[in-house]
Amino acid sequence: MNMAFSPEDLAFREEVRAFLAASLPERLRDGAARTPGVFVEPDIGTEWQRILYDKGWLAALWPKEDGGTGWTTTQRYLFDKECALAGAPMVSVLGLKLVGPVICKYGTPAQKARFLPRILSGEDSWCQGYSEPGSGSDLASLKTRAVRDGNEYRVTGSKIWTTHAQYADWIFCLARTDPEARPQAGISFLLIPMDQPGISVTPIITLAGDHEVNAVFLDEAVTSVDNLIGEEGQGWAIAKSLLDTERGGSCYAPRMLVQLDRLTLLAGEQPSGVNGPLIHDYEIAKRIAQLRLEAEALETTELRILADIEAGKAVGPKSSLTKLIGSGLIQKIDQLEMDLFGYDGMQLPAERPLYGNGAPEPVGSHPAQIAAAKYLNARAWTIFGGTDEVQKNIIAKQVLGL
Amino acid sequence: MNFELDDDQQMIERSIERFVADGAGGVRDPSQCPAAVASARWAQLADLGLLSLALSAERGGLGGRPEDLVVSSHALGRTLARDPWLETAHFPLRLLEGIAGTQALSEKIAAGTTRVAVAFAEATGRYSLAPRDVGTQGRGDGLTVSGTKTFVLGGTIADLLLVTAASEDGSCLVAVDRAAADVRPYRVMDGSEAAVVTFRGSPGHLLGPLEPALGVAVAETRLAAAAEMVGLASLLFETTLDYTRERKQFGRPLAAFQALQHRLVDCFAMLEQARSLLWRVTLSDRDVEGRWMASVAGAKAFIAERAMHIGHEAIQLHGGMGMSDELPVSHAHRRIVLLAHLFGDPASDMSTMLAA
Repeated sequence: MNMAFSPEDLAFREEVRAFLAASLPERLRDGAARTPGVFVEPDIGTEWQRILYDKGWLAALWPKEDGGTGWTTTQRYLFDKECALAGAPMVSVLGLKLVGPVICKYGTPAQKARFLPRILSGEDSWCQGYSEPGSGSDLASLKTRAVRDGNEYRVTGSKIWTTHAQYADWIFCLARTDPEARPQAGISFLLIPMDQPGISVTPIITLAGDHEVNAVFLDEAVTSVDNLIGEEGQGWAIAKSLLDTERGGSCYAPRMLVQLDRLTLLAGEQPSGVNGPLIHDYEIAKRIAQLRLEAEALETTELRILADIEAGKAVGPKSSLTKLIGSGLIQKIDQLEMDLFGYDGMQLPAERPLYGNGAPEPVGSHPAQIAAAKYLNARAWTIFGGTDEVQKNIIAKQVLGL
Repeated sequence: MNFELDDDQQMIERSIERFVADGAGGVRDPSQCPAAVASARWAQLADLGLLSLALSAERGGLGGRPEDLVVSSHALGRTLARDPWLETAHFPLRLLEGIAGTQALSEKIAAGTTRVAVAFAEATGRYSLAPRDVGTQGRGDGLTVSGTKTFVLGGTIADLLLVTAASEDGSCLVAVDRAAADVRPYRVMDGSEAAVVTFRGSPGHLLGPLEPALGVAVAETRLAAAAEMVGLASLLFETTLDYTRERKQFGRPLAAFQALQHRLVDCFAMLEQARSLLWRVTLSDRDVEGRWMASVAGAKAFIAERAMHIGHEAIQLHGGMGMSDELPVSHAHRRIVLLAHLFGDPASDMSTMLAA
C-alpha cells in the first residue's frame, strides 16, 4: 500500500506546473480570487478557456477523437489539483463537462460536428434546463412539454436555477415528449437555441446579490428534430449517465487545503484585539486545525476513489460521498474565513464585479470584501447538483443497500 | 412565576406589528428604501414611543426596563423590521444613560429629532472596545478628534457621531458632527449601510468617561441583539414549517419525510432553548453587574449559534428558493449573521464571558 503517484503521473504533474507558471495571467488569477460567486464570470473564464484550448488541455472529460485530452482519471485529477494550487479560474462546466460528454457519447456524427468544436472554441455558451419550479429534488416529475410538429419540436414550460442562462446561446433541456409514459420514460434530451421569441430569461438574484441563476420560460420554443439527443424517451437515461461521467475523480479537497493555508497565514496577520495575532486564540487555531483534518481526510477519500477507478473497479454512486462531505466543508471554511475578518467580514458590496478597474474600494482588504458574499453563496453547495438530502438517499439506497 | 407578557408588553408587541405591517417589506437596503421614507418611519417610531422605551424614567423616557426592551427587540426581529432601532436608538440611549450631563441629548434622540450613531470599532482592534487609533487632542472648546473608526452602523444617516476615543485622562466618549468627519459608506451583511469614518482634527465635544457606561450599554445591547435574533429565528422557523407543509416532492409534502421532521424538531428545540436563556438572563438580578454582563455575553453566543443554525436550515429546507434575495428567509438570515457578529462572534463572546 502506498499513496505515491507513478513516475509517469509525476512527470505529467511537472508539465502541468510548468504550463501554469508560464501561461496563467495574474489578471485571471486575481479575477478568480475576487469572484464571490460559485461560478466564474464569463470574462475571466472565457479567456482562461482560450488559453487551455490553445494548449489542447480543455476538454478533460471528452474522448480524444472528439477533441478531448484523452487523459486518465489520475491525470485529470492532477490537472484539477494543480489548477487549484495555482489559483486558476474554473472553466464553465456547462458546455465542457455537462452537455459536451453527452454529445460525445450519444450524439450523431452530424451533432458532434455541429456542436463540439464550438464548445471548445468558446463560440457557444450553454445552460442547463433540468430543474423546474415544481421539480427540484424530484426531477422526474418535470412538466415541460415538447410536442413534435413536422421537423420541429415546440417546447413549453418553466425551468429554474438556470446558471448563466443570461449568457447562453443554447440550453440543453429535459422535456416530456410522452405524457402517457412512466415519469422517467417519457422524458427526452433536447438542445434548444436560446435566441428566439419563445424563450425569455428572468434573473434570480442570490442572497449575496449575485446574478448567477435565472428562471427560463419556454413558450412554444422551437428546435429542430435534429437537436434531439439519442431517442425520444431516452432523456432520463442520458441525464443519469452524465452523472456517471462526473462521478469519480472529484477534486474538492485540494482547493480547500489551499484556502486553509491562506487562512492560517491570515490568522497570523489579523489582530486578535486582545494580545498578538488571531492565530494565538485557541478557538480560532482549533477551528482551522479541525477543518484541515477534515479536508485532508477528504483528499484521501478522493484519492482512494481515484485508485479504485484506475484499478478498474466500479465506484458508482460512492462519489455522492465526496459531494456530500465536500459541500458541507466548503461552507464551514467560507464561514471561518468570514469570521477571521471580524467586522470587515460583514461588508457585502452590491457592486459586481469586484475585480478590475471599476471595482469599489474594499474595507480592509480584497479577500475581506468578498468573504461575506462567498459565505452566503456557498450555502448553495448543499442544494445544487442534488441536495445533501438527495445525496444521502442515493448513498443509503445504492451504497448501503438500505 | 409567570413568563407571560403583561398588558404593557403586549401593547409594545402589537404596536410594532402594526408599525411594520404598515410599512413596505422588510428589506434593509437604502437603494430600495429612500432616505425620506426611512426618516418618516423613524419619526413614526418616535411618535409610537418606541425610541423613548430605551430611555429611563429619570430622563423622561418610558423606563428602559430590560424585559420591555427584550420584548420590543424580539418583535422587531419577528416582524423583520428594517429600522436601525437597535443600533441607533437602543445602543446610544443606553450608553448615554451611564454618562452624567447627557440628558438633553438623550431626549433629542428619543424624540427622533437628533439621529446618532456610535463609532466604537477600529480596524486593528477586532472586537475590542478599547479605543486605540482614535484619540482626542486638546481640551474644552479646543478639543479635537483624530483617527479612524470602522463598522459605524447608521453612520451615514446620523447628525451626530458618538465616538469612543483615547485621551490623556483615559478613554472617553466624544460627540462629533458627522459633517466634521470623512464618512465613507459601505454596504453590510443585512443590506444596510455602515461607514468607515475618519477624523482629522475634527472638533469634538467631550461627553464623559467611557467606562463603566460602555460596558453596561454593550451588555444591554448584546441582550437586545440576542432578543432580535430569537425573533428572527422564530420567523425563520415558522416560515420553514409552513413551506415544508406546502412544498411537495415525490408526491408528498416535504414535512411528511421523517428525516426532515427530525431536523425541524431539532430547530424547534434550539429555538426554545434560545428563548429560555434569553428570558433567564433578562429576568436574573443585576446585583453583581460584572457577572450579569458576563452571562449576557454567554447568552448571546449561545443564542447566536442556534439562530445561525436555524437560518442555515431554513435556507436548506427552502432549497433554491432559500438562496434567492426575493424571500424574507435570506433577509432574516443575513440580519442574524450581522447581529451574531455585533460586539463579537459567538467564540469571542464566549471568551468575553470566561474572561470576566
